[in-house]
Amino acid sequence: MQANKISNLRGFWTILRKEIIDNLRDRRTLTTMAVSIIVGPMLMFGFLWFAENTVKKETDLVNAKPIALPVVGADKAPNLIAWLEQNNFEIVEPPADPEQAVKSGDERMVLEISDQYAEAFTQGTSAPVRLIHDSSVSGLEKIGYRTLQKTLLAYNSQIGAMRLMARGVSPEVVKPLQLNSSDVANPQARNAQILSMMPYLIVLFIMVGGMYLAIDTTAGEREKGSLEPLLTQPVARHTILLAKLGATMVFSALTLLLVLIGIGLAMEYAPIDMITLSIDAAKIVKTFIACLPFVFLGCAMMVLMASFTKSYKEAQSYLGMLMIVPSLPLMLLMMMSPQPSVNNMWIPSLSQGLIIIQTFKGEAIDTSLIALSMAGSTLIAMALTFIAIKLYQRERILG
Amino acid sequence: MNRKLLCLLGALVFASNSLFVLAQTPSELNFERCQIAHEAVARDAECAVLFRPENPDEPNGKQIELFVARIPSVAATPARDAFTVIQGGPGASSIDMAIGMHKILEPILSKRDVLIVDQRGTGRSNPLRCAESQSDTLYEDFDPEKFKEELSTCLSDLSHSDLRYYTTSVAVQDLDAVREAAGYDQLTVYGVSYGTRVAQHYLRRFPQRTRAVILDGVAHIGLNLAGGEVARRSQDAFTNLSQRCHQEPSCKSAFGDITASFEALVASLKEKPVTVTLPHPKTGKLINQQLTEFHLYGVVRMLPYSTEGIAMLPLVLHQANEGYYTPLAALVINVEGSMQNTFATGMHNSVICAEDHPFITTSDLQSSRGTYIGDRMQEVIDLSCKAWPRGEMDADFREPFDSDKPVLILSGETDPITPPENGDVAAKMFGHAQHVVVPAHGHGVIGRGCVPGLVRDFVAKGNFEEFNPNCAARERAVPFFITSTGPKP
Repeated sequence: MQANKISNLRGFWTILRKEIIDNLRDRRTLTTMAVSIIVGPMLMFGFLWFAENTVKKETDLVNAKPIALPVVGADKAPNLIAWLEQNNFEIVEPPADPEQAVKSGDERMVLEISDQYAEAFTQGTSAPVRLIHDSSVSGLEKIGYRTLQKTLLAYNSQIGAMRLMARGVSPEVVKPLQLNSSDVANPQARNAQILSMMPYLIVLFIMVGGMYLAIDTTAGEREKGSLEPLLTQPVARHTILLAKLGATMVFSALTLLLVLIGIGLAMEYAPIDMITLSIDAAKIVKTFIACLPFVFLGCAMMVLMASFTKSYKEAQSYLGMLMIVPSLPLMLLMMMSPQPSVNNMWIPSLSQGLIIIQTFKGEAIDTSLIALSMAGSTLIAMALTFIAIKLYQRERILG
Repeated sequence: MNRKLLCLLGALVFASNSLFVLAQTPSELNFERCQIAHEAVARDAECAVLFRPENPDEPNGKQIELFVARIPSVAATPARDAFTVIQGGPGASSIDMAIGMHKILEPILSKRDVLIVDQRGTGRSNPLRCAESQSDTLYEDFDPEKFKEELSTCLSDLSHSDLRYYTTSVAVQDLDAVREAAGYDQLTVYGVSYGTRVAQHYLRRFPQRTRAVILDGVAHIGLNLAGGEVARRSQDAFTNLSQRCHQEPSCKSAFGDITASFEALVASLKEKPVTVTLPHPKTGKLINQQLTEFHLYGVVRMLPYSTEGIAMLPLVLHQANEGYYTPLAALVINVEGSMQNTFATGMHNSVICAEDHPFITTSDLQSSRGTYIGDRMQEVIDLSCKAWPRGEMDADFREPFDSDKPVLILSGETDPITPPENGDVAAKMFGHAQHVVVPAHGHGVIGRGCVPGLVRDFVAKGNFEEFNPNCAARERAVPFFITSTGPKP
């Protein structure tokens, strides 16, 4: 009994070491880790950089190029046109059929000044102008349209206020409310958009980091035919499984650490104005530890799933789908931003997501809630491991 | 292999640790979350109070409170310098001004904190206020005896303060003490109107502590605010406005010669002031408003401060000339309302009576000749300064100086008090200055057109690298109102 135990422990370390060393030699694993530290943050920050630059290019007060604006009936409202030009619009000849031109995408928008404009403006009644646009065009293409709306509304309120003054009425009269707002979020926490993307990225890479090992050590070995000789060694099968799981977890955890460092460095050095977050070493360590139970869970899940499959290819496609599972609770997180509580902190992936967000924000999170998250994930991971052990103890595992 | 990887990881964590954490000098000031408010507009900030000796030569003597507001940057590691704004007057509150500068401060806050002090004697820092009637002597028929009486009441009301220590020379020492107490290496200083005098003197006294300077509507070094300057500039502004109306066909055909309308209106109000019954511009209650030539001067002086005001003035003068006084009377009420409680007259006097009044030259005095304001303002200043204790001024205060710091100078083309000429004088004095004249705008142009963007770029870089002020040329005047519904379509 005693001898058996020692051999189990020794067997565990031998297999664990072998798997780790094998995989360090494997270019795929290393590539995944390299990708995790470089490509992950680059994906995220590259997108933000692109969005920010496009918006800047189009709206920057100083350097934006004039926005071309076709105007029908420009001669009917010279002062309105002067206002538009002053606000960096370049008035161009309108197309013959404005609606068709906007519909076909030849023009982003067309402004039409109606025949009644001059008459109505002088009479002090609202003067109609029509803005032809395509609401199915979305995102960055909409910037010019919004700038035009704002510019027209600014003209509206300027002339409106002066009309009141000219009649002896203070323009404040038509502004019954002064809406002041107080933001209680700390400055770091105002990066809501970026913060909500973080858990997604991190959880995804935890899974990716262990995926190849999980496949390789089970389905892969089976396909190569090396599983059978291994299982006939004088080591308990659960020891073999635990060692393989352990090796998977080591790579998954390494990837996690690298992603966290990558994000931290990107936050510090990425030339993006909207990012105003600092993720220091303490935050990285805290997040890393809090996410370890999820590393266990994710790897257990993958090893279990991989042991059902017969070939490398099959394992790859199943595990690919498995990635969706932990990302579902995170979608909820993006939409709702719940506060951490006993009700949600036992849920794996959601709770890690909350810990990541709170920690990055620099806001405290109750230690007992972190413990709950860690315990919850660990328990489920242990259950999955137990099932995997049971599977390994069947002869069918050799497939 | 294993060990190497671990070492590498260790190095990475260590590197990130040492790179991420930049030690900030801790603040000696006890900043607490607060709301700063001016009329209805309020914004979040952090507030603190710094005690400073009223008399700088007696550090342990009487202490006065300086009210300091800080708006923290959203950056993870803000720049080591802070951006500060200094209001004009003299006598108005810098913090009040900053509350309304959302559009300008927001882009700056993405990189650095904003730190604002109410200059001693203004706003929330031991304001030297006098009873209300003091501030609008311009609008009333001037009675020297009554004025002297009010002045002595004011002096006795302010007897708890030593009025000699509320000048620019003392104020810049305060500003630097606040900078140091708040833990910043340097200040990037924006000053407007009289605030440009403070900014320039700060640069002179603390060149190492100044990162860059923005002067908006410049009172250049040596400019005398107590002589005929206001009268002369106001007259010039009205003359220019009248010419512009004359050159613009729509204005000319609607109103003819507005200088003539103005003179006719002055003559008629001089002969017989009118009482206008009108709904109050805000409450709508029927009130009686007296209109004298002095009320008219007030409106003609204040409206050209902005392009919107210029656009309305010919119409309002024309209407009054035709016997329709309501808009003019309403403007009198609006102008007086906007001036009310804005100025700490005591601080204003402390500055003007120390830094300007003693240095008035004959040509300063003569420049008010032939203007509609004439020598009325000088008379008021003379009387005030005769009674006012003369304050402390640094010996070199009025001497030109040079600096290699970047100085961005902004002027409004039609500024009725500090025209682009002033900016040119300042630009010549500094070795490292750029002067941007914004077309069609009046006094203080930082909020106009693309100027907030220029200021953002200049403050971000702290120099003129890639600085391109061409966009300012897009600005246009608001077209003249031809009828109460506005300009031509």
